[in-house]
Amino acid sequence: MSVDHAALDQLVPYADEALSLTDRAAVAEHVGGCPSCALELRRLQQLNAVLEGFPPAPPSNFAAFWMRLRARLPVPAPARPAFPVRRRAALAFALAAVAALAVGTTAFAAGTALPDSPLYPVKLGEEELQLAVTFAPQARLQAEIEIANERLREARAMAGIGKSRLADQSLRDFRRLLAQITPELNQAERASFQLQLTALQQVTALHRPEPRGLVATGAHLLGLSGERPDDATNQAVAQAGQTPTSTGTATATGTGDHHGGGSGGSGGDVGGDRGGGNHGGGKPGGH
Amino acid sequence: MESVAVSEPLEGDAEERRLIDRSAGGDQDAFRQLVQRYHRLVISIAFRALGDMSLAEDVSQEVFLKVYRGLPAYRHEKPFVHWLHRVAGNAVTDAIRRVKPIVSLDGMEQPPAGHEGDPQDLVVRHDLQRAVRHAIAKLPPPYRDALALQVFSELSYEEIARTLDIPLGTVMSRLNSAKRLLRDRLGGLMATTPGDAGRPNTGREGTVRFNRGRL
Repeated sequence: MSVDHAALDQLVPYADEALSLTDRAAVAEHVGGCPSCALELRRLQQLNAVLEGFPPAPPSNFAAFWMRLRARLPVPAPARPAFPVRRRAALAFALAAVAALAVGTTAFAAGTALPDSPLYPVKLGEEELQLAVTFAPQARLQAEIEIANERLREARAMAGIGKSRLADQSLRDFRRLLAQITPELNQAERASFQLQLTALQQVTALHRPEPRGLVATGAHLLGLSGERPDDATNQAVAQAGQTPTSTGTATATGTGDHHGGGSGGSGGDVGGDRGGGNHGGGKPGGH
Repeated sequence: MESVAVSEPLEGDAEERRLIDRSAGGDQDAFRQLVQRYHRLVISIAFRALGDMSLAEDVSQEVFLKVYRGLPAYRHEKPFVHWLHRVAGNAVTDAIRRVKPIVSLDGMEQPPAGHEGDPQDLVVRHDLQRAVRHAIAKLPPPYRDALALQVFSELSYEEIARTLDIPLGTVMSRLNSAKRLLRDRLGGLMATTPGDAGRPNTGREGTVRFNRGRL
């Protein structure tokens, strides 16, 4: 088999039928008398059969494809620069880029990072920057509400996988945020937070007793949120006192705060005064 | 064999040239028309490379985004479609490397025998195709690029030569090396019983032949 295997260099183009007639004839002649080249040729033909077997694409909708693509095209020099939006976008982008560099992952992972993720500090930084460049009061409140919701979501997720300390931390942050924004919340928003707290309380109660103190404290905060004593929510919360959340468990969590007290039931009954309109606007908070 | 660098007059009509120039200037309507011309081509390259329509559309979006960003630097020195093929080829092989192979090559060294024609065969063929895609994407870049243009873009040797701007003889030697390396790396997967030597262990039905003719 040690004949001139120069033809070996041409076996692939030969199998691909890409040789000129004369080259083709020369290779065919060699292969005919050389078992090793013949075997090699058969193997290459097998490989070709696989390579030619990739199925063709199903139909694709151009209109949908273009809509999506157009939304992603870089915009040529903006005619009317909305300063905060642009700056915010730039900051978010810069942070996302840093995150991508640092962890080598998709640039948008930080937005959904949980407290046990290495990207979590990036997410917190991103939130702070967003707040720092959001000036319109309504937009700012909206952003704060979103961040508070994010803390709740994290607490739920962490409690769900038994990471109590991280769950506590998120709840503490939530409570701090809530204290800041409660005076500005309307009734529906407070009701919504209270519903979520109740749900969260049920989740954490399944795992261990501690976080209920914090949950209860958050609910208490909502209940006390600068309303008149005869406010329906307070009554509802007070009446729901049988919920096993009293007895000052807040202390047990180590926060040292005493919003808990005896009236800290998060009470599922928040529907009582739902639809009561906006009680919140501009009222000075009690805290 | 003759090793001639094939150089041809610029392809593409005047209309396409106008669309390119307008797109380069930020005219999105012109770019839409350009995308409309080539959307099907890019999707089919990406689908052959990835075997998944959702991934193929994602990668195709990236290809056209890259093209859009690159258009201002495009000087009509080579046909637009050649440039498009290069961008698409790079994007799809990058994408293959990002997708984790679900089945390792090691785990596939003994494909189930005697299942030709039944549903199991489809599974085997699917796994084999996935392994082959990954093996292509991991070849040394010059081999990979030439082979990707043949396998995913279905270009002839002459078209590959013009797309990569290399002589035809270089295409031959690169594809030669690429396929031998590929075959070595896929050795266990491609093995057949001696009596079966003429057939691949996947079905042949529905296969598409390479584009062997001239343009």
